[in-house]
Amino acid sequence: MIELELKGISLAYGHKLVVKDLSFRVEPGEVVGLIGPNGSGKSTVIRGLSRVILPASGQIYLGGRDILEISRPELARLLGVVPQIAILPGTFTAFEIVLMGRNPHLGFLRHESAHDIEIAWNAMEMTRTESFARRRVNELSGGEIQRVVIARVLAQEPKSVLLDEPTASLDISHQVDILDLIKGLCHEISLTVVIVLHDLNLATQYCDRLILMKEGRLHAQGTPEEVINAHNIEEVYGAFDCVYPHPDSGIPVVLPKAGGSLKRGRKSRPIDAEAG
Amino acid sequence: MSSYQAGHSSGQYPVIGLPQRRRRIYAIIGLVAALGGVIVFATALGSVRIPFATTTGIILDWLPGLDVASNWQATTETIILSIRLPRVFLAGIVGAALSIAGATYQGLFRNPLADPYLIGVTQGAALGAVIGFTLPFQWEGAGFGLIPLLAFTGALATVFIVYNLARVGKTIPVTTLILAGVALGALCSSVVSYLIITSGEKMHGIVFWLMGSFSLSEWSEVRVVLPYIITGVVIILLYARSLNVMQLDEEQAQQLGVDVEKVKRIMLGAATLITAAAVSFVGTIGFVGIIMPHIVRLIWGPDYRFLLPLSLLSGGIFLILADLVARTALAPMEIPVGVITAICGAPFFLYILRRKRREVFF
Repeated sequence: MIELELKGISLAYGHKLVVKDLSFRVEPGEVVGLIGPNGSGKSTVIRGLSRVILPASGQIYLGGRDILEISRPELARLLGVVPQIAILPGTFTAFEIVLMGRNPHLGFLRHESAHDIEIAWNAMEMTRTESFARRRVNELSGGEIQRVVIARVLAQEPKSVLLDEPTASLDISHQVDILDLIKGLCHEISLTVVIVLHDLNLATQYCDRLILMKEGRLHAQGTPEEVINAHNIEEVYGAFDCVYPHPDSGIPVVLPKAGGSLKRGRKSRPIDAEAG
Repeated sequence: MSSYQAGHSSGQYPVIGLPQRRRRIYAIIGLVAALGGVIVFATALGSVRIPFATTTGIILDWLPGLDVASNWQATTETIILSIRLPRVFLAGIVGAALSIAGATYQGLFRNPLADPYLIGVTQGAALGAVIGFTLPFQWEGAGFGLIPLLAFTGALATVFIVYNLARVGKTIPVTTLILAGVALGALCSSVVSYLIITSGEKMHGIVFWLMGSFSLSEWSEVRVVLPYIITGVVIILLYARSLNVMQLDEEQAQQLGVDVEKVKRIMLGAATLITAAAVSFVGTIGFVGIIMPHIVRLIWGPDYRFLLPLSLLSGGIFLILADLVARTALAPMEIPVGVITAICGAPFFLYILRRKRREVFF
């Protein structure tokens, strides 16, 4: 059983091809991390998966169905998205924002019922946002807003969730907080998760599988141990000699050092240069 | 492993949201009652003062299905039903239309400065009307006089051109739409200015039309305008929840199941239609469309499912009162109602803004 499948997807803005011939599969209940340098097309993949932009070629299947054949409200019932920085209308309360997650479940003229309100409230309890449910979102911190947006996605009751760097603007404790929350939800209500992460160390810690992208193409995929190695990091990021095993768990850790970038004019590894 | 599981399954019934909704429903009921009161009040006042009881009786008797024992003179009934009531109705309808259209544009563009005239409606209507004034003949058809017909056509044509200039494939980028509207609006305005300068003795009539007036209101105008406005208002109210979700941003709204481009197209069309219908008979009345939605927002919050109907009602009430001042303050002279809307409305708006100034409200 495959939850989400991309078959030879190409995505473009105008004539500029950003994602090229990308294929991968995500199984139900899996947490898959999408990693790669800036501009490698990670966020664009999220846009394509949620049908904000249409693929120039290729197909996307959700639960075995082509997403082009799924109506927008139905797609929103199957798939929720947490954007990188959620722009929220400041005067709405946190609860009103979470309640918007019920939108795809409501008929054309229906108001939210007590049932919808209860679902939204449960989502707020799960994300520990109920204490500021009545506050306007312009009074909330970045971490609180991100949790409210995750609560909104849970209120959609989706099978899969896409997250586009949900921790990009947060400090380390809030990053761990958000990712623990997502990982926990993933187990508790068996969500399938595709998450774009910038921080490679968080990606190896939280993801079952990683998909490494370079210039819009798939560069490597597999378990964190398979993907995060000196060779891949050098090829994709141009940073070398920075992968070490974690002292406790042994999983690979990326620890960059000053001056360790190939992009600063050095064309090859210094060890080769010395040998040559 | 994760901390969120700890002790939060309280099971308490979430009362949040419902009291607020009830308060807003009471507000709608209250404003409907206030609108009724204001209609009677404004109809009773004028060059001949008619007692409120008589006015209420005549209006109730006039309503279909109601019969009130009549103890008033026929001339009184004529003043109420043929002269004052159509004017009060037209003012109420136009105020309601401009106010809900303003709220809709503000929501669609997520811009507090948007008003019903933002994308060229006024300037197009003005150009049409002024061309009508300068033509050497009069004409009438489909319930429209020449000037209202040209104003209506000018408004719709301008927005149609703006819309197509801004369209990229199947999408309408909001910024492009506003810029195209501003540019084409400026073009129309320049032509209008030129026509005014060269219009000679017709200048007074043109300027008076541009500032807006209900002095020539008749039932026939109410009957022509009303179908357009009712249609537009119903469409806008049907899509109110989508407009709420669209306050997030277009991408998030799509990801929450809203067909953003479709909603934008439909609501733009509806708001433009009611604005064009409203201005074509009474001229371009400013201020109502931008200020009334903000007052409603300040008092009752940003939920468009309530903001739209509350704007509709309060806009109607406001313009009826503004027109009452316009025709009675310097009677028998008429003041253009557009002058009154700003003179009376601005201080009231500033008072509300000042009282709530600690809260960002858009």
